[in-house]
Amino acid sequence: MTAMVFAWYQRRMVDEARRWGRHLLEAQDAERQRIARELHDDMVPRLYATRLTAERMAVSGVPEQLGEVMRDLRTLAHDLHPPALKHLDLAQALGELAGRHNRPDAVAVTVQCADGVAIVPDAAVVFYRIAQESLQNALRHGEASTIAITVVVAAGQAELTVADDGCGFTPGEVGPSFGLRSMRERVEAIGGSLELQSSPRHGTRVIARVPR
Amino acid sequence: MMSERPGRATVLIADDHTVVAEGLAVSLRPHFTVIGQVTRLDRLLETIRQSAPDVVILDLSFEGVSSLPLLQEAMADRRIESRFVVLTAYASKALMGAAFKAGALAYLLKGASTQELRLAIEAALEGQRFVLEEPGDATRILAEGVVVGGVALRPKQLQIVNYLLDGLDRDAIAEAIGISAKGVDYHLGTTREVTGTPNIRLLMLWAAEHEAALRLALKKGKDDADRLVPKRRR
Repeated sequence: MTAMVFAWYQRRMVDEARRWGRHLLEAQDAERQRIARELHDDMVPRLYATRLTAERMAVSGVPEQLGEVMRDLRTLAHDLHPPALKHLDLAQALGELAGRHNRPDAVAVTVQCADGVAIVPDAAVVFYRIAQESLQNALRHGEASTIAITVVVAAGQAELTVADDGCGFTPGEVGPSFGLRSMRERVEAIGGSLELQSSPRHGTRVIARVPR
Repeated sequence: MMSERPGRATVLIADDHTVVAEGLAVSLRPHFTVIGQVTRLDRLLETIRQSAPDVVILDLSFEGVSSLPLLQEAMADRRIESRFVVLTAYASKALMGAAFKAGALAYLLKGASTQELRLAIEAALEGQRFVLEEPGDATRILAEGVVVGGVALRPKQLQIVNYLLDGLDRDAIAEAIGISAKGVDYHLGTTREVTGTPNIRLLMLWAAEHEAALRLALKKGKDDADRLVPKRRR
């Protein structure tokens, strides 16, 4: 009896921890979007107005300095929440993400995703974040030279795959990764699942599936 | 279209930030006739129809709402002949592509100097496309004489387009410049993007159309142009 109660309590604690994890991720995404909006729609325009004034007053060096600050803020806002995801669609946002990581002679990132792909906005954000995280992992840890991002939509389900030709790893042998856990929690929060396939010298494949 | 002062183009500024709209109006008044400022998206179309400006400077986001659908609507409206210059805080190639697809003629980032805005407006008035990858580029590049057909070309892009005019293929260009064939593809891709030419054939046509200017720009700026953008560390 005591063992049953303990098991029930343990399950409840795990569920509770998961629920809080998801809540934190959702709150983090909402906060990222809010800060990106503030930067894009308020801070940069206000600095721009100041830059125009400084230019008219011929204050030497100030317009250029403000220009540099604005450039950094635009980059920060873009990383927090890409405007293409807000104003266009997942295909455009992924295309842009790939373009930012493509390096001639070093890394080729390709995207296969139909324009205007019909998935719910929550899933689009989750797919984008998973693609972003997987891409960074492939470049930072996997030393990949080719990364393919694919989104396939079939009846009832949308699937994102990020496959790289990097050095790979044995999934059970690496310690718990915050990035991987947050990817899994993000996708599970909207009723989906995450699969990781990897082996040494054979690259890595991250597959996220969500209901449409 | 009516200009309030003969010979001066009329400009309407559409930006939800009053302080930005006002700043732009003050900076542009010495060069153009600024006929108004609109800070609300729901009033913009009607104002354009009524005031018929030569050029509209358009922000892409009004209180978080995209102005791209309005741009498409304006382009489809036969009563509107205005040309659109997008001025935005969004450094996004995808949004830039969408803005051009919707009908904009120029895409600039908030950070652009008055001189760069003037260049963009003047290009739009001539029906030419104008792109700035980064504020400051046009001012810098213009000083070296490599703005061609309203498009600010980076030194590698200028070099490659000139080699295309010489009849060199991808591999020959790669050898001539000393980069890989993939590198040439990359620069060709960015050149097609800024010139608005979806394929190599149309890029060739664009280059042929601007051949004299491209040859001159390369001749004038051959050595200086390479100094504009620091070479990548290998």
